[in-house]
Amino acid sequence: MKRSVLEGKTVVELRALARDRGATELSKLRKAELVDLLLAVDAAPRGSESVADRAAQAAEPSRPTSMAGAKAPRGGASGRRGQKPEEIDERWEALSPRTHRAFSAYRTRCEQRIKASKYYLGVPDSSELDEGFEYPESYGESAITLMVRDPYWLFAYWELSPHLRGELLDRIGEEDLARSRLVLRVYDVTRSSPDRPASIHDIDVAPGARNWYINVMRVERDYCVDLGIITPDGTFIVIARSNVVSLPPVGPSEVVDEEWVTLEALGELYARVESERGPSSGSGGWGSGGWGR
Amino acid sequence: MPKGYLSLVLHAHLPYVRHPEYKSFLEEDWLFEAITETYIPLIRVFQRLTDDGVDFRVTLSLSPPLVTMLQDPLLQERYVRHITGLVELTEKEIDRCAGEPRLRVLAEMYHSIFDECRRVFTEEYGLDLVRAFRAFRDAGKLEITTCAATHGYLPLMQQQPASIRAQLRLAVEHHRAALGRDPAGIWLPECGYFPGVDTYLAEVGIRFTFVDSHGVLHAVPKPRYGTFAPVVTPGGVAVFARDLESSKQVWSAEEGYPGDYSYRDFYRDYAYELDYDYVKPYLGADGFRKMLGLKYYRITGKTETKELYDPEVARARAREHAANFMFNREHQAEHLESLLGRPPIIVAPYDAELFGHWWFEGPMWLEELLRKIDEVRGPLGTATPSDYLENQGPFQTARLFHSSWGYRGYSEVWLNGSNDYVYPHVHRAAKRMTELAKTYPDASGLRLRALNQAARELLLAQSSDWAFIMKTGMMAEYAHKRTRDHVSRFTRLYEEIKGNRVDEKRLAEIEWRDRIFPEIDYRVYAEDEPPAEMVESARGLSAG
Repeated sequence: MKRSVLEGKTVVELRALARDRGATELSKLRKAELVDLLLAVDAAPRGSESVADRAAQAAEPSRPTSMAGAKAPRGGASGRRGQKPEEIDERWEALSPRTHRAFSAYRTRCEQRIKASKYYLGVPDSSELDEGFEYPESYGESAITLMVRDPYWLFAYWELSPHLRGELLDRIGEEDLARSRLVLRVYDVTRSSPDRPASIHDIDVAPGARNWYINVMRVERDYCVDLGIITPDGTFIVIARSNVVSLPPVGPSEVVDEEWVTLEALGELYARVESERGPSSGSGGWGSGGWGR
Repeated sequence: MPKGYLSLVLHAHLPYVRHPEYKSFLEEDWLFEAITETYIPLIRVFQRLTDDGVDFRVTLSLSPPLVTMLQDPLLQERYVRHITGLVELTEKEIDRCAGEPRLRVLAEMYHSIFDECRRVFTEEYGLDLVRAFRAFRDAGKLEITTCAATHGYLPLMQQQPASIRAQLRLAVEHHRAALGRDPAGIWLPECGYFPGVDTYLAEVGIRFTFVDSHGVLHAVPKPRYGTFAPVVTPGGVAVFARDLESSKQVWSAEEGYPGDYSYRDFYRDYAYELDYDYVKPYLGADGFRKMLGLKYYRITGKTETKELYDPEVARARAREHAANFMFNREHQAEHLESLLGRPPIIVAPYDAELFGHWWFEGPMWLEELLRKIDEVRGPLGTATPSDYLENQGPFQTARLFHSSWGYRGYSEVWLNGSNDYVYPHVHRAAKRMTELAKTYPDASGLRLRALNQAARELLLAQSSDWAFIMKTGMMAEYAHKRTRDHVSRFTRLYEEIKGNRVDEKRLAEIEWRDRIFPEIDYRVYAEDEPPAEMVESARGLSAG
């Protein structure tokens, strides 16, 4: 979205757009701040809470930090990783604290800090005790697993079987293999399957990467991912296929039963209306406390 | 007749931490502090209210690891040692502060608190606080729900149905054994809901659970009553949603009650100001200064300089805040009842440890609130989810999607750069556990012991606390260590079982260390298909 387009909208329209992206407490923001917020949201991956975190921490007394420091990756080599949602975007840094505060869903960072307090003892960690175990580099098979992180982000992790390289060499030869790209092919399989996806897009992953955060193209859809390589002539060879996941909705449903009176007075935050399903759904007996299933 | 109902839910949970291999261990303090500052104060509140004939209904969720620790003889003994030490320290403090009346008052306050804790723990409940909660339940004041076996975060376990099943089945069995009854409800860890989890809940006889506000507000179709009535899922489970207003008033460290400047400051512990040799006997074996619970300061403001705590001022403020909360809830209840045409339920869930530990005056506030509600007998009553289900209805059916009450409402707290590395390993361990359970359906003797212990190690690795702590960064080394230790023990057992060479001595040692769920039956892991109804509803979902 371009700045000029956003600036052409009214404050009411901008607020609606911001709310769609999960922002709250918008009433105090001026138009310029709303525009900044929307541009930052579109540019930065969602989840850049580290900047906002720092703003809040400025108000707290200093606390001992864990001794994690700079350590080798724990889960075995992962090579270069994909873009992380929490990586800082310059635009976020430029936003005012008030704008940061607006971009938080219902659960606040304060609540997070209070929840963390039950683990807080005011002392640096006890020294690390090693039982001499190292996480295995691999478990021996080519496989990819897909997980949902939030309405905008998926997480995929995978590994490649030790035999894979040999198989691919046999299939396409050394030179082509060297010039092939490792790719995540993301299928929108809503109401369908990977054979007839609603859309496909490819993500080039860094060689040696073992996981990736995938920013989805459209919300509220079902996705599945193939891990594969694209050869120099454009052929896609599948290495492994992931499970299917469904993304949760980002707002209240549009599904409404016209038979029932609307309850607009509840406010935009609450459901306008809905009907109860009839007795045929098997839910009769709730009123009497029965549990007929 | 009340116009509406306040449903307070206190979720009490700590991860299983028990280190018999050391004489004392830092992270065991999590339990000791919670006992001193939360569980005993809450028990005292419930006791006083019951003695005074106050009617109240509150829901308490007790997680299996917490119950196990509260009933563990070693930890009970260590708590007695811990609290006795604090009583002694405060006696010294009273002497030391003889010339400083304001400090002396505070030392006396803590002495009295710690002494009372010791008495309640050892004399009134014979070292077992679970008895107290059970008694209040039997007296009709509390409804007690369970929570997943090791507080595993279920939405990130969806690819391992057997793991989800085990977390839930063991929880119900554990609850039955420790509390003498099957639980009607469950607190999903972190309110982590995913479509289909309801069918797993129904499978073990659970009737209701909780989600964060958006979990219900974003349901299909749009819930007619918002968060003010439960909805029933296709799997047949009633889901109650957190109320936004009552949540903000308490949970916000800055805008909510706990941030009031006259309340006790959580971070300022006098242990850091006292002479080292003076406090050394009360620190752990490693001698690092840590919090001892001697907090003499109040929040004061957004300033580094804190002023001394004044208990009387704080108590008066807690009373005001309780009155304010009740006033707001009464208005909410009246307004909603006229709007909805039925009594609303206002669900107010909190971590139990917020009361007394983070918010020192929390239990006072709670007591005052419950007293006033009963005294006034006005438009606001208190009710548990079971009360509401039995007396109200019918209820709307709706489909719910993924949500949690974690920061930003989904799963990012448990799936981000600080902790994403664990999932390949823990998921793999879960798959291997299923493989073992299917390969050895009728184990006995040493192999049976090994299989059951492998299951325990998997469960402990699945504790959502580790990922949470890794994210917050405090005590993260311990969380990394626990995950690694349990994956390591599991992996070793897996290899030994498959190779038919179980090392008995080593097995006995980890059985001694990781002793939860003595009655565990590893065979639950062989059941790795989702419940039948779920397959149906999943299809229904993708068909739109």
